[in-house]
Formats: sequence, C-alpha cells, structure tokens
Amino acid sequence: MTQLLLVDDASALAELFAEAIQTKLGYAVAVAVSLADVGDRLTEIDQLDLAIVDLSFPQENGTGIDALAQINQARPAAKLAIITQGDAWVAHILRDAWELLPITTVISKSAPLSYQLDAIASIINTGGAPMDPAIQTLLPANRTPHRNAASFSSLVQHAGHVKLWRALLLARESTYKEVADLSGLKLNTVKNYRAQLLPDLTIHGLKDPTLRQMRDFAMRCRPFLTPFLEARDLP
Amino acid sequence: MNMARTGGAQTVDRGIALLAGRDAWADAEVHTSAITRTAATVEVAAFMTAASSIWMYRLTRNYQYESIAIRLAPLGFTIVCMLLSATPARVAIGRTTRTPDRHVFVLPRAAMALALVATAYAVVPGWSSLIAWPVGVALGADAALTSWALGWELLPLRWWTMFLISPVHVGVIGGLIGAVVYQGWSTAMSTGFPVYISMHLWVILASGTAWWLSRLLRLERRDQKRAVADAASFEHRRSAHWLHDDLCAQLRLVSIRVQSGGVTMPEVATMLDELDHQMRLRQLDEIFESGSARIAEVLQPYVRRAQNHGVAIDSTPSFDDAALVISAHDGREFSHAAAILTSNALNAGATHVSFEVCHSPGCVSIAVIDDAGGIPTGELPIGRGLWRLRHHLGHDRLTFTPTATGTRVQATIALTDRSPNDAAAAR
Repeated sequence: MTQLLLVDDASALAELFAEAIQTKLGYAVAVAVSLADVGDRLTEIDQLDLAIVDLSFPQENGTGIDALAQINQARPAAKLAIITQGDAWVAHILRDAWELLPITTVISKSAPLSYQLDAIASIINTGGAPMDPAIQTLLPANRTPHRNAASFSSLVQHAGHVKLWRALLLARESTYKEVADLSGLKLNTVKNYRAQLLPDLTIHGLKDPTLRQMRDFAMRCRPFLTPFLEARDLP
Repeated sequence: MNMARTGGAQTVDRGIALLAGRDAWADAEVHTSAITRTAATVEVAAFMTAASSIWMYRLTRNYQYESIAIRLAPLGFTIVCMLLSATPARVAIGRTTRTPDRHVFVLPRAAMALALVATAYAVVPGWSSLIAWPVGVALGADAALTSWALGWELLPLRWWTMFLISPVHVGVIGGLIGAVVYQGWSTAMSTGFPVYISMHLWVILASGTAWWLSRLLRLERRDQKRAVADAASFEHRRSAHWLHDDLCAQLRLVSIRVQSGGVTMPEVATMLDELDHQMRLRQLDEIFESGSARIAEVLQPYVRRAQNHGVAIDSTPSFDDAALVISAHDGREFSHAAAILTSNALNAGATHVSFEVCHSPGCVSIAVIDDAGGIPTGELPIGRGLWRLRHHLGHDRLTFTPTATGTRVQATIALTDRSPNDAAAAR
C-alpha cells in the first residue's frame, strides 16, 4: 500500500486532509503535527513513498526545511512535496527548500481539494506534478546552478567560521558587538570572516548581506550548515 | 557560548573599532535615526568650529619668522577636519554609506587623528591650544556614532579615569617631567603643561559629549518602544474589531444559511471560497499598509479565486516579473485592475485563464487571457467594471486583443513610486 507522511502543525486540518487522501486515493497517511514528531513517525513507517510537508511552524524553533531534510536523509527514496499557503513570509524558506532538496512539487493549501488530490496522485503515479499556479510566481523557473547541500562546505572554511556561524545562530540582535561577545572573536575578526564568506554567500542569493540577514539564512538553512559546523568541531 | 575575552584585549579591540569609524561597521540595518543625525551634525559643527577658531587665532597673529610647516599647519588642520567630517556630513543629511573593508579605514583615520593633534598644537602652542576644545566634542560624537553602529553601549564616564591610567597619559607625564628637568620649570609650564591640560580637556569634552548623546539615544529608544507598544495595542484592537465585525459576521451568515436549509453542499463550498477570497483581500490590505507589496503577493488572491471557480490556470507570471516591488498606492491600482480583469473572465464563462505581467520603467501591465469566446469592446457597457477601469486608467491603458478562443485584456498602471526594496525582493 502506498504510504504517505503528512507534516503540518494545523492538526485538525492535517487529520481531515489525511482522511480525504485515504478515502479518495486509498493511500495510507501518517500525520506528524510537530517537527519533533517526524522522527517517531519515520520509525513507525517501513516504506515511505511521499512526504508532504508544511513550511511554517511558528510555535517551533524550526521550519519545514528541517523536516524535509530529516526525511530526505532518513528515506532518500521517498518523494518530497511541499504544502503551503505560499504567503510572503515563507517565500525565502520555500525558495531554499526548492533549491536544496529534491522537491517534486508545491501544493497550495487553498487550492481546491480535487486539485490537491490530483497533484498527490500524479506524484505517486508519475513521479511529479505541475506546481500550483498560485505558488509559481514565488519560485524561479530554474534552480540556482551550483546551489546544493555540498555548497555549504565553502561557508565553513575553518574553525573561525564555525565560531561565527554558531554565534549567529544564537544571536538575537546580530550586531557586531553581540556576535563578537558570543563567539569570543575580535570585532575586526568578525568583520574579516564575514568579508571572507561574501563570495560564497552569493551562491545562496545573499549579496553583501547584513549580519542579521546572515543569521536569518543560517536559521533557515541550519540542517545544511550544521553538518559542516560539526565536522569542523571534530578533533 | 558567551566567550568573554580579557579586559585588556577587549579594550584594545574596541579602541581599534572606534578608530575604524562608523563607515566600517554601518550596514543597511543600521538605522539613521534623528539622534544619529543629531550626533553627526554635532560632529560636523564641532570640527568646523575648531577649524574656524584655529584660523581666527592664526589670522590675528604675526608669524613672519615661522617655518613653512607651521605656516601650512592651519591648512592641514582644516583639511583633516573636512576629511573627518565627510562621513558624519553624509549621515547628517540622511545618505546611507557603503561598507568597504575595515582595514581600509583604520590606517587613514589613525593618520588623520595624528595629523589633527600635530597640526592643532603646531598652530596654537601653549595655553592657546585650549581654543581647539571643539575637537574633543567632535571626537565624542564620532565615538558615539561608531559605537551605535557596532551595537555597543558606551560608558563614557569611565573614559577620563581610563585615560589617567593609560600608557598615553603615563608617556605625557614622563615627557612633562623631562621638560621640567632639562628645560626648567617655567619653560615646561608654558609649553608642555598647557598641552597636558588641553589633552585632559579633550578627553573630558569627548566623554561628556558621548554621554549626552548616549543619553539622548536611550530617551529616543524609550519613546520608540512606547510608540511601538501603542501601535501594537491599536493593531490588536483593530484586529479584534475586524474578527468580530467581518470574519465572525461572515461565518455567522454562512452558518445561518446552512441552518435555514435549502443550501446545497456545493453552495456552502462556494460561500466559504468567497469568504476565503475576502480574507485574502483583507490580508492584501494589511500588506499594503506595510508600505509596499510584491506583484506576486498582489496577484495571488486572484489566481486562487480563478482556481476555486474551477478554472484551469494555463500560465502565471515568471518569478522575475512577479518579484517587482511596488508602492502601496500602485499596488492598490494593480489589485483593482486584477480584480476587474479576473471577474470579467470568470463572468464570461472562461474555463482556461492565463495571467501575464510585464513592466518597464514607469509602468506595470497585467493581462488576463481567457477562452470565453471574446467580448464586444467597441462600446463598453456604461457603469460596468471594465468601463470604470478604462475611465480610471485612461483610454489607451486598457486594451482588448481578440485571441483564437477568447480575449486578451491588458491594463497598464503608471507607477508613481517604486519601492526602495526592489532589489532585495528580486533575489
């Protein structure tokens, strides 16, 4: 039986949507209503065919990218799809997920149910589905070349960069003073490390970013950045 | 993970950071508030006052037996003052600055600081050096501006005590003692001691200025916090009012119609879709209230509306076209046109619709292409949406082009104000 995993924090809506998929399409659907639940659901499922993940988890310290990356790592054969309202505040997350993960399609939460079900059936049967027209305007036709999980390695060239990124992930105001205090680096060292990273950040769409923009980027793309930070931490 | 460094290392680090100046640390995030501009104005005014004082002193004295270096010193002092005033002058008039590499700034600014001291004491030796007191004010304002860009709260009242125990002060004391030993008490008192007092005056004035500006900044932040709290409170009340008057009333309307019977499930679905559309428009209004909107955000409710009417969407604008950011006023005009063009296609019975957007400097166009068989466009029915849109935009700005299966209707909106966030959104 085809097995789906639906990850959405709107629990009532997720349960109803799962029921509609089960009834209309005959697929088994497991539901995770928080990012922390994703690991548990994955252990309960033997064979995962498709994961449909919401992007916005305002009550949690993470986004749908965390769930998508976790699923992709645990079940690389599973297809990935995004279900979202497609509002402006998820536009950056949507673009990062689209470019860094093998997303098959993006479904709009407010599209007619029949349209959503057709898209899911199409992914299962053909491996893909057209992107929802209401979302299409938020994503470029082509993914940025050279932008992938491996491209994050150039953002952590040495242990000093590890300190900078870890401080940015903890920073609240993202001023030079705060980042210097959190990292133990000198003010000019923070400035120099930032300058070193600027060419590599352009691949990720950041042109001369402020420290706050770097912090936001690090938070969004944490699942891709963290492995390289941890690798540098190892003796 | 707060990794504290030793006090000495931190002091040196911050000293170098202050020497680098505001330009080295300011980025697009650093807000140029009224107090920041005040501090910048104070710095420029202080440097200009210092230069004026030096020239007044110079012009009232007879220096015919002096060396060329000393004769040129007032000019050098003025040039250094002007160079150091360049950044605060830009800040004072509200112009943003770029952030080139920091080390580019440290050495020239260190050289300028040295030149400032040397030329000042060359022009006004002895007790006359006290007339260069505005330099202290300028340095205090400069330190305040730099520290704000760094996100560092200054403690200027400690500066004088720090100066007392600093190597610079110890060196000056040593020099003063040397002058007393080798040149005698009276010579030392008339040359070295005034310089020593003048340095203290600069440090005290710099501390006082930085303290005063920092206090103004704290007061400004307190007022801003209060204004933000008031605005948030107002927004909460407005949202509550909207939830009650609009959303709950609409939901109640649907509920009553369902309870009264005679409504089929598809009709309920249609009512809820209409409510969803109204909420999307309301969301769009909120986005407009923020001052600007992306074309993608403005167009989305109308694409969704067509989708919910069972219409197949054949194409939508590309990411690059839809990434354009326009002002709230232009966004409302665009939204108005999109609403009428979409309604026109849906009312005509379209089953397939395409949306197109193109823009050029000064205008943005939206086109809706339908398969509804075409409409007579010679004389639009008076008072209808398209007729009003044509009158509103101008005759040439609403065009109808027949297609094989329907019509392409294009509305062109003149842009009155492009948002400054255009580039950021186009990422």
